[in-house]
Amino acid sequence: MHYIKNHYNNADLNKDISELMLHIIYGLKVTPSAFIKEYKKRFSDIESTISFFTNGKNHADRIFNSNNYQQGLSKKEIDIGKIRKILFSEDAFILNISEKLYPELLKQIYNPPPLLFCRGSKIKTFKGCIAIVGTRKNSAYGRDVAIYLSKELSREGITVVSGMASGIDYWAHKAAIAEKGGSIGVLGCGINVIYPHENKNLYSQIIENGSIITEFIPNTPPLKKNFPARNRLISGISMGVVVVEAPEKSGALITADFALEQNREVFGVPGSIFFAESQGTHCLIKNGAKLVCCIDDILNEIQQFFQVKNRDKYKDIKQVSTACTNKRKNNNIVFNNPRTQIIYNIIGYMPKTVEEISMLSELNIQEVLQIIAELQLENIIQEKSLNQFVRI
Amino acid sequence: MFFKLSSFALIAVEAIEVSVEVHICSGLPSFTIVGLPDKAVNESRQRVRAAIKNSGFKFPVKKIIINLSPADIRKEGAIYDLPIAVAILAASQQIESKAIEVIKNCSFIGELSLDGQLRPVRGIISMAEEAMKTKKKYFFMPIENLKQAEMVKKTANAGAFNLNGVINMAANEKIICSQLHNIELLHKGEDKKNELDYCLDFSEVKGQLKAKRAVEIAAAGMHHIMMVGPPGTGKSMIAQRLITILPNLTTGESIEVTKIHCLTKEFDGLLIKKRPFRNPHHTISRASLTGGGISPKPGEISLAHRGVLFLDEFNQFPKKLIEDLRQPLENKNITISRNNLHYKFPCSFMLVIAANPCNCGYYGDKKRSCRCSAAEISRYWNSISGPIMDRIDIRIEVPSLDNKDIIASPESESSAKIRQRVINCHKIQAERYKNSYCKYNSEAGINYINSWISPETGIKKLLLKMIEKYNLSGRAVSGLVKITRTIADLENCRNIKTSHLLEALNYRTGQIALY
Repeated sequence: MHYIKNHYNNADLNKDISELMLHIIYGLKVTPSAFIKEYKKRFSDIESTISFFTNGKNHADRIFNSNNYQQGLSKKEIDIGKIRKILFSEDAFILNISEKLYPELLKQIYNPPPLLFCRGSKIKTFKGCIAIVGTRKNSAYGRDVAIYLSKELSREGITVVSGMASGIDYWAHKAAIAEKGGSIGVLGCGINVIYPHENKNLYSQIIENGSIITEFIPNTPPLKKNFPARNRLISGISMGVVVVEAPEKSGALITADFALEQNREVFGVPGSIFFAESQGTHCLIKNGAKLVCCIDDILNEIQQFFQVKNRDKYKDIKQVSTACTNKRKNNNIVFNNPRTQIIYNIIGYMPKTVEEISMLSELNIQEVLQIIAELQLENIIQEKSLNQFVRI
Repeated sequence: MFFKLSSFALIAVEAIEVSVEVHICSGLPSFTIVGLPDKAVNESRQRVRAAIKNSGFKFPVKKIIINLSPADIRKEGAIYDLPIAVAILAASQQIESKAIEVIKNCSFIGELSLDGQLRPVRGIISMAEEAMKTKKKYFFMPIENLKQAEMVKKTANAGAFNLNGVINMAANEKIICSQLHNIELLHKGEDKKNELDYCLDFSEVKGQLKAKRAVEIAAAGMHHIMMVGPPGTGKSMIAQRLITILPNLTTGESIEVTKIHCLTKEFDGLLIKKRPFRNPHHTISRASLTGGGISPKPGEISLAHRGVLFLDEFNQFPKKLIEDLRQPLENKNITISRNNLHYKFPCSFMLVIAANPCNCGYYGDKKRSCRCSAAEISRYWNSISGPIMDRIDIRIEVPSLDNKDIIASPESESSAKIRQRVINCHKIQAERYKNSYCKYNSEAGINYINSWISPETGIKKLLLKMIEKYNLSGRAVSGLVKITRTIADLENCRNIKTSHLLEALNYRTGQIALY
């Protein structure tokens, strides 16, 4: 495949097979699910599968199953030459299911995509993936949780997977990239389509520090029906799915459903019982999803998949939770100035307004503002949203 | 027969002297006005003819030519009725020679009715000032205008009820002197009436401590201020109470402001002592915001001169209108050009802006969630002009409060108390800038700002830390230092301290300020 430039040398990719599969799926119009069915029937022998489909005699056996997830297949003809051109110009490449680079976990799901269109470089380096998903209309709390979890997972060497949407997805990717952990974005559209448009910068950052994958051929628009299909990849590629914030009807919950189907861990981050954004996650927790209140909750659960480095291992939930609370307690800082100490003690992990701080501390507003500015400069507290402050 | 006397024409807020010349000669009876008169001036021929006859004089049956010079400035309005009538009477020698001698050194202004009564005119203060400058002996005007003209002392103003009154006064100067005495007595009574009573007070605003403190600082240094918050949290309430903590206008400022306001129709004839508070609706036209019209009139920004211009629902104002504010904010005046004349209106005001944080209004709210997408929010903030935002020193959030907080909050300070601090602060600034072009900390130049940052007290170190953390631009830093200076002035400190700088940081780097 001449269009692979930088990221992979030719030896890594089986270009001929990918090319043949492109021809079968988009030229001969065999549905991907039919292909996978046949592939699995033949015990993952790609060559015999390909010859089965390319053999002229089997035309009648071609299965068109419109109920399965179709990869943006339409009735109109798809010009494979054009696809190649786009892939070349976008510096993208194709991974087929028979390849070593194809994510191992994804191969195991019920209907993995036979072809993955990819951009970026770091797909090879992951130790394991955790998906962080959630609503597009997140609260400030949801954003912080996404950033915190994503950062911690990245430090651990775990790749954070998400859906490249705005909201929680955005923050999860952003934090993972900042931590240089790399991140995988799974798209619900073609590899050359940027959606939503405000994530344009995020695209280029992920391409540099991670990768973008999609099962949809280039130029596929972000159709509504694509997203549940994408969600099955998000959960499929990961060891577990963390739902950070989700209202009662949310795409994130679909991802969680897929995760259960695919035998992956499901984690739910609790929120305020008054927030509509947390009702979905609460529902998950009620139904048995693991409650996450610190990063160890996740790491402890996925120990079976890989070795947790530089961390204490915990045997049971009790140990984990005591470890979490200890960490919080030890965070307290002691200041020389008694007033600073008062204000610091008042500002906790739930956002508090200047008004409240002033009232609780019984200091006048000037002093409160001075101390808040000082603590902000020292990176001890930060402003969450309008006038509300929390500890970092 | 030729006669000449003086009158005034208004260009923006300034008056210039116009001489009214009359030439009466034999020929076919006619009455012509030359010297770029507008329709109203031309129509004065009919009023003058009737007024002269009805006052018991004769209208000369001769060829009459009136010239208003300088001839290249457009003369507007019915204000030349009186000077034309007096000039005709003098030229046709119907006034005794003693009075003619007086009239030669006087100025006249006024509209005549057909029976010879005088009607008030606009812009009398500027004319009285010009009369003072050109050292006229008396300035004759309609009696209703006399009160305003008296604001400019040192001129002998004479107010008359009708044309006959003017002629009598010219003949007998004693009448004018006694009138002046009466006016002085009249003024004393009125001063008491004009006391500051706003019916609003800052003690009515519960909670919102940060916003109130910020407004106090803004008033003390005349800094522009922006308030952002969800609906119903008290942005407008605070803005409306802003004038109650500003000091009264000084006499000089009072005249400046009254001069502008007396060009408008709603002016009630009294000297303006309260600082003006203008609150235009966002449907305002361009001309009424910045000033304009065929013969330009002051717009809202000029009417807010020395006071407050409050733009509520800022983002609803058309972008073009807001961009128009750029230059006036910088220059403190606006020049409108019409037919080779430049009309210059002063507009040194304090800009107060209130806006919601997003379209639905609840972005960042603690209790209600925002319905806007990230793209919508960024579009919303992009629609607010960067250069205008750049000129606003103080940007604060006015978040929604819990009702229980509001009830529990202690009794807040009254406007009078805050005003006292602001007045002190203004005094300190007047002392500091007595040899400078600026008046307040917000207008201070870069040389002042540099002199305030003393290296030994650690201010510089702290400032560098702030710049690094918040990525502050040059203008942001100078804004920050200006606010710091004002906070120090409020505490009557000679040098700025680190605590002042830390407080100032809050008004510059909130979540909103970072947009």
